[in-house]
Amino acid sequence: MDTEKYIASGILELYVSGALSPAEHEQVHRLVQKYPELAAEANRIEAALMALAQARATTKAGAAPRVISRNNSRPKWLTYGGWAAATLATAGLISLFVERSELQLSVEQMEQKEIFLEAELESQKATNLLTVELLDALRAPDVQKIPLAGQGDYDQSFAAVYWNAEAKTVYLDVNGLPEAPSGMQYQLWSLTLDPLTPTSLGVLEQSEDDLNLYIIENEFTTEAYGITLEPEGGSESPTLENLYVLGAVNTTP
Amino acid sequence: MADTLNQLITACQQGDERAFQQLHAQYAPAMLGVIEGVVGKPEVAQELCQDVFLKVWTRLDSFDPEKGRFFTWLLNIARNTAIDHLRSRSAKEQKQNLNPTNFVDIFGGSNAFEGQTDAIGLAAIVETLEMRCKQLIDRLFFKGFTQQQTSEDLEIPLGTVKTQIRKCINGLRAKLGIDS
Repeated sequence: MDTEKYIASGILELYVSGALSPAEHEQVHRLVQKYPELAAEANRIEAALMALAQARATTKAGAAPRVISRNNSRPKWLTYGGWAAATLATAGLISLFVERSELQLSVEQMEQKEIFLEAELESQKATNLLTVELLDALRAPDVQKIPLAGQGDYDQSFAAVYWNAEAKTVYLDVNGLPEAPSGMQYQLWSLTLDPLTPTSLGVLEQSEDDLNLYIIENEFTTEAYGITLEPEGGSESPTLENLYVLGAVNTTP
Repeated sequence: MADTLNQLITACQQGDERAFQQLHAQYAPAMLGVIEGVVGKPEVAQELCQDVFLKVWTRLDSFDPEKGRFFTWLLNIARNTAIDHLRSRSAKEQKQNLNPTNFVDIFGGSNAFEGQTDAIGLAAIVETLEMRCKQLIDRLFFKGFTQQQTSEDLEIPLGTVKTQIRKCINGLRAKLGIDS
């Protein structure tokens, strides 16, 4: 850069006087900082203008106005340290918050699990009660076991009736029956053989446990028990093609 | 010199009152002259000069030595404070808005440069300045006109403002002994 020509242009006088736009001023200022000869010239212009201005004052400048010392002369590391501490604290708070949320979540999950486990326990207790009751019932002296054998195409199936004639109660074990297809239900029949007369003892609702045991009241005279597969809700009379199992009551003591 | 000035500015920015007093001692006489050149009344100029340096103290944080010249930054505060004072006075007196040509020509008054600080005989030096130079220094330095405004006010080409102010200040420097 031709600094002599630059100096001769008179732009430094305008720069020192503040007659340039802020952008131009900054531009010239950068050059002044870069080139020592420009800086020296600008200083001389400033000195001349200072002398002129000083001479324009008719009174002497007084003391500096009283100012309150601002103690912001703290070292930079303190400032940055402050920011760093604030950042760390914020990060800590966020992580605590996240941790807390996670804990909250796991507490909720635990609570849900507990409710689930309680429900399961109740269900297990009920099943247990039922099992005990059944066992007691089956152990009763006058309970007769009537095996129901698979019939025709369903000879792989089997079931059992535990019949307490005195209590007029049937304990039906259908563990050996395949699961009823959807839309169909098993129906238990009480049969008298001569003449063959079926009486419905009801349809077997889908059991909630895995016991596949039903307790059914039976006030009828029964010579045989049969189970058919019927449309949902049961039928008036058994569909004999769908007779799965059949067993006769041993009438001879 | 630039280094010491920057150190002084940094100290002031950090709240050092003594550094501020040094800065004041260095620049207040010139700023007082600029203010008086604009407002005319010495006692008002003194008051305004105190205001200027209070502003400097509070605004120095926003001054960036990388982007601007300190003297020019200070000069702008001084000129604006003085001009604002004239404007508010003008408003109070229900006068029309002040426009730059309503200023009293700082070189116009008698004994204007015969202040008690005239140890170097500046009054005599100023007397030797050409009329054109007095006008240019008045507009560009004391009143803070831009190059454009000066060119329009004095009805001279833009480029001429630049070359002539150089010539004028060079003449002043020669007489003051501030040579390159």
